[in-house]
Amino acid sequence: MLDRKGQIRTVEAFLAILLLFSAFTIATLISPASEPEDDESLAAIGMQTLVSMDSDGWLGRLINEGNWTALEEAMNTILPVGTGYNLTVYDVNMQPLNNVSISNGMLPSPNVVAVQYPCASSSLPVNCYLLRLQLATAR
Amino acid sequence: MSSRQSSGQILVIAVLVVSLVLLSTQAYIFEVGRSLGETHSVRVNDFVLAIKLGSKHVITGSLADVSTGSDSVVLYSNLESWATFISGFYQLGRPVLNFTLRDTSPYASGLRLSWGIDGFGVTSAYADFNFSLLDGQVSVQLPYALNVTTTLFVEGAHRNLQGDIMQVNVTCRVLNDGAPALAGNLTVLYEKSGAWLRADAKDSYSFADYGNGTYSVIFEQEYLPLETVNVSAQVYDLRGIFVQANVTCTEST
Repeated sequence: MLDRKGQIRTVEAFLAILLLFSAFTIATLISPASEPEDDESLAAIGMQTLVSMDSDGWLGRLINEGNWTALEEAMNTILPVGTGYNLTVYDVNMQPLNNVSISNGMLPSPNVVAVQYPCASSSLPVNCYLLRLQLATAR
Repeated sequence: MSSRQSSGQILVIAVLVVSLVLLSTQAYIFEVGRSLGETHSVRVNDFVLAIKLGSKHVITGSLADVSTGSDSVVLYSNLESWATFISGFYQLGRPVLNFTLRDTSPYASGLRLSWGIDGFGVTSAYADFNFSLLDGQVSVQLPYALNVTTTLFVEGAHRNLQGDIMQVNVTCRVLNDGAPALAGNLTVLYEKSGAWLRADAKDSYSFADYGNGTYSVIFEQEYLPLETVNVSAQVYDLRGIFVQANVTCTEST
């Protein structure tokens, strides 16, 4: 009788382990836990791309000149391969300034991350701009 | 009896395994949370850097504007526009940017435009900032000071060639924020009978760029004996900031 009790407890313990492993496996499979991390990394890449272009005032100069082609070429060069983006430049009144699309045409994706970057031009006239950068990677 | 003892041992092992699984799960959750926090911090750091860069660009542009004749209030109004613009961002928290223009000598209203006759010219702006970002996860308080300065050193020497003809040798050194920097445009003028004339209009004019922010200009001009030879150098650096300095040339042998 005692032996059976011990066996049942052992079976119970294994069932508990099985249940925990199952829960853990299912949670890992269905959990979107890794996606926010990817989104945050993508957003960080976007911010760092804009910071690197802005470090010597080049970004503001291009916007002041309305040189959207050069801006697009720079984005294409700096962003990692396989990263889709779409950049929109707004003035202080939140009116879009770029009359042409600044994009590499790879954006259609269910997981799009957006970052906003404030920028000021050091070339005259001194203006403030808001850059909205949408990013996506193929998953 | 033996079977009963084995059952107990298995039970203990099973409990240990369960504990291990629970601990592993906790560690996994902790790692994921920490990784997310680190990436968020990177974004916050980049945002703070963007604010600092923007502040510096506003100062640089305003200084270029003031140095070429605009009202000195431009610096304050541009920085105020920037601070107001920044306060509208709520992407990573509530940002607040405050600034004060340096008002202690030699600065007045954050500006110093000292274009002397001793061969030294300086165009500079100085402002103190305090940036705060209040967020649920991160709270940032960052005081910082920004100084944008263009400095010009001018040295001049002249020597008699023949009769009243003198060869004038002017050396200019340009610095941005204390480091040698290239000039976007450099003009040397000389004073003759109370008028300032461009040296590059002379046939004898020669210009040398040493590539390290040092420039040499040589030209010939007629001067009466004992007449002082005054020269002026006017420079626009690559940021568009104007600076000038005058100097009386010394006689060289």
